[in-house]
Amino acid sequence: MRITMNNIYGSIINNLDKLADDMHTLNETISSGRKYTTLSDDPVSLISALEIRSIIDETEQYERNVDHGILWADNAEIALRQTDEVISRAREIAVQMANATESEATRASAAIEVGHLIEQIVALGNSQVAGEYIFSGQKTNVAPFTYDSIAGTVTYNGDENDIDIWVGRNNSATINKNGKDAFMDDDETSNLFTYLIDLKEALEGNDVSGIQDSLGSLSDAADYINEKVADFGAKYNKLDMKKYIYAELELSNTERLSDIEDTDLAEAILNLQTKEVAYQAALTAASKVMQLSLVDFLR
Amino acid sequence: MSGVNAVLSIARTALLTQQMAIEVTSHNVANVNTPGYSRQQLVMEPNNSTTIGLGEIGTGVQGQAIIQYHDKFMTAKVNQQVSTMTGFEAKKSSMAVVETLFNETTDGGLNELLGQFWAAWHDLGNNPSGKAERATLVGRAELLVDHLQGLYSDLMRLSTDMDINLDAGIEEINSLTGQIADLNVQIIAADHGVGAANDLRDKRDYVVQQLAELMDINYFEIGSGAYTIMSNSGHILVETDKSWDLELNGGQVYWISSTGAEVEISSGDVQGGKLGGWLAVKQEIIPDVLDKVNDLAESFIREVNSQHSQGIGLVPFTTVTGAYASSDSTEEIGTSDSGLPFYDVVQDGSFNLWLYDSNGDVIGGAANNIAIDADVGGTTLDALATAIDGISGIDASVSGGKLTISIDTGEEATAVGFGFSDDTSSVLTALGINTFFDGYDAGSIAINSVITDNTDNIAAGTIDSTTGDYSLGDNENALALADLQIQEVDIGGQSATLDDYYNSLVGEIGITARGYNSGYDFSRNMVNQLGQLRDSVSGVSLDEEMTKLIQYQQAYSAAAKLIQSSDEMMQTLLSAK
Repeated sequence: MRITMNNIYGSIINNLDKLADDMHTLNETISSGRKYTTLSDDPVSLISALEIRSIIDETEQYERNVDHGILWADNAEIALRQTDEVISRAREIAVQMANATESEATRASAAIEVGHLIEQIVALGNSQVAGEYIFSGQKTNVAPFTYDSIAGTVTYNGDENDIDIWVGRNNSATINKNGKDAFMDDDETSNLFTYLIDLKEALEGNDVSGIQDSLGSLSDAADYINEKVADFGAKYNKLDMKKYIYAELELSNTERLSDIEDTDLAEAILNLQTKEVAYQAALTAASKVMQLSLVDFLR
Repeated sequence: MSGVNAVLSIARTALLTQQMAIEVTSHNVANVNTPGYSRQQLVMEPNNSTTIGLGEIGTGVQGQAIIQYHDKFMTAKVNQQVSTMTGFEAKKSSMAVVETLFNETTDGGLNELLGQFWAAWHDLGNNPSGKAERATLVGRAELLVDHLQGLYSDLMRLSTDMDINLDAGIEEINSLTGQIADLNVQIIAADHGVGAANDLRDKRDYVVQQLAELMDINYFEIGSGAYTIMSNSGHILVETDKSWDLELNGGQVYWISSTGAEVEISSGDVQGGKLGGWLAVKQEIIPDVLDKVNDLAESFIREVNSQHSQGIGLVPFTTVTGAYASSDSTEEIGTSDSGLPFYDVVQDGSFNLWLYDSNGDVIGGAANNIAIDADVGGTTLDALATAIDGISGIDASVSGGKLTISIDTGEEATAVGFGFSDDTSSVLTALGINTFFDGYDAGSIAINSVITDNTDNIAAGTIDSTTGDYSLGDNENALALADLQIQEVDIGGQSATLDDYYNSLVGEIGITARGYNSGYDFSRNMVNQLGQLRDSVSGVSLDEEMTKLIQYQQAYSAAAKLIQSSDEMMQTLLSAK
C-alpha cells in the first residue's frame, strides 16, 4: 500500500486514542471499584446485579420484620413466665392457708397479698413493647386488662384479632396472642383471674374449702399458662431460625453481588500496566516515524 | 526544422514543462493537510515530431493534463459509512444521556427507591400507629415521586434538545446543498478539458462528505460534471444548479418540493447521518422509554391506590376530596366519557361507607352499601354524589369534577367521621378518594394532598367488614401494600412485578446503548479503514513529493544546461572566421 502523510498521522492518532480510551476505562474500574460504570458496559450482569440487590434489600427487610416479631414473642413469653411464677406464689399461699391452724387474721392478710398478685398479673397482661400493648389484639393503644378490686372483676378490653407480619415471600407469621386467649384461655367466666379472685374472696371469708378448691383450679391455670409459654417459645424459635437463615442468605447474596459488580483489582491493575506499556511503545514508535522525513536529508 | 534553434526550442519546452511539474508538486506539498485534497500530477508527453530526411525527430516535451488521483468508488463508500457512523454517533450520545438517567450502577436509582418504599410499608406494618414510620413512608414516597418526575422531565428535555439539534442540522444541510449547487455551476463552467477543475471537485467532494455526515445520501455525477444528490428515500436535494430545502416545523422534518408542497420526512426516510440519528432518538427511542416509564408509573399508582383505598387511617375522615377530576360528571364513571384517568378500573360492585358517632360507634350499626354500575347507562358521578348525599349525617357534592364527601355539620349532625371498606367496584381508586397517590403517569405523579396534610390518613389498617370496628394496631392494609412488591400486576399490557418491569427496562436501555456503541465503533473503524485506502490513493506523501521535486529539479537543471549548450553552439557558429 502507498503510505501517505494522512495514513501515517491518522493511524498514530487513532491508535493513541484507542489506547488512551482503554486506559481510561481501566482506570475508572479501578478507582470506582466497579466493573462497570454505565448500563451499556455490561447490561446482562447489571440486570442480575439489580435482582440480587433487590433480594438483599428484601432479605434485610424480612430480617427487620423477624426481629420485630422476636421482640414481641420474647416479651410475651417473659410476661407469661412471670405470670406462671405469680401463680406459683398464689398456690403456695393457698397451700399454706388451707392449713386449719391458720388464723382468720393471717388469712385476711394473705387475701391482701393475693390482691397484689392479681394486680401483678394484670400489669403483666398490660405489657407494652415500644408503647404498644402486646396482649390487646389489634387494639394496641388500649390496655387489655382492667381490675376492679371492689367488684372483684377483671375485664378484657382488647379484641381477638391477630397481628401478622411478613417474614418471607408469601409467608406471614402471627406475632401476638390476644389477652383473652393468653390469660383467660378464651373463657371469660372461669379463668386465671376468676380463680385468683375466688381465692381472694375465700381467704377474706375464711373459707377453707374454698381455698382448697382454688388449689386445683390454679393448677389448671398454671397448666394452660405454661402451654401458652410453650407456644410463644415455638414462635420465638421459628423466627430465630428464620433470622439465622436470612443472615446466611444476605451474606451469600452480598458475595454474589460482589462477584458480579466489583473490580478484580489484581487483574485490572495488571491490564492497566499492559496498556501502559503498549501506550509507551506506541508513543516511541510514533516519535520515530514522525522524525523520518526525506526533507531532513536534503541539504 | 533542425539546428541549433531546434535544440534551444526543445530546451525551452523542457524548462517550462519541468517548471510546471514542480509547480504541481508544490501544490501537493502545500495541500498535504488539506481535508478532501487529492494529489495531482502533471502528465507529460513528447511534442509532435517533425519529419526530416532520416525520419521523425522529436521536438521536446509538453504537459498533457494535470490529473487527480481520486477513487470515486472508494469516496462513495467512505461517504456511505460516514453517514452510518454519524447516525450511530448521534444515537449513542443521546443514549448516553438516557443511560445516566437510568444509571442503577450507583446508589439512589429508582430500583433502590422502590425497594425503600416497600420497606417503609413493612416498617409501618410492624408499627401501624407509629408517627415516625408514617413520616418515613411519606419521605420515601416523595423521593420516588421526585425521581419519576425527574425521569419524565429529563426525557422531555432530551426531546426538546433534539429539536434544537434538528434545527441547526437542517440549516446546515440547506447551506451545504446550496454550496454543492454553486460548485456544480462553477465546475461546469471551468471544465474545458477532462477533469480540469480538480480543486473545485475536491472542494465539492469535501462538502458532499459533510452532507453525508448529516444525512445518508445517494449521488452520482452526470455528463456535464454536475452532481445529482438524493436523500435515501429518493427526495432530490441537488440537481445541477438547483437545491431543495428541508424544513423543521412543529418538531417534524419536511422536504419542500419545487411546488412548495411539504413532504414529511420520518426516521424511516432518513436513517443515517446525524439527522437520521436525531430523528430516531426523537421519534423512536425517547417515546419508547417514556411510554415504559409512564406505564410503570401508571400501574404503580393504580395498584398502590386501589389497595390503599380499601383501608382506613388512624382516624376516620371528616372530609375528603377526590384527587381525580371528571371532565363531565353527568357521564358514567366507568366510561372514558367521564374523563377520569383511571375510569377503566371501575367495575360492577359496591363499597361500604361507615359513619361513626362521637363514641366511635357505628351509626345505624351497619355500613351504608353503595352499589356501582360500571357500564354504559350505569352510575354517573352526579348520581353517586346524590346517593351518598342521601345518607343521613353526611354531605356529598361535585365541584370542579371532583367528589367531596364530608360529615354533616348542621343541627342534625350525628356523625363525627366516616371511613370506607370492601370496595369491589374500584370506584374509590378511579375518583382518587382515600388514595395514596395523585396523578396518572410519571409526569403527573404526586402524593395525595390528603396524605401529606395529615399522615394519620395513611391507611395501614382496615375496617372490619362485619362490625365496622377499626383499631390502631391493625396492620392488614400495610401488609397488603408491602406485598404489592412481589405481586405481578398489569403493566402496559403485560404481567410483571413492578421491580422486574423496571429492571428489564433498565436492561433494555443498557442493551440498546451497547448496540449503538458497538455500531458506532464498528462504523468508525470502517470509516478509518476506507479512509486509509482512499488516502493511500489520494493523499500526499511528502517523501514522494520531495523525490519528485528533486527529479524535476534535475530535469530543469539539465534543460538549463541544454540552453547553455545551444548558446555555446551558437557562439561557436558566430565566431567562425
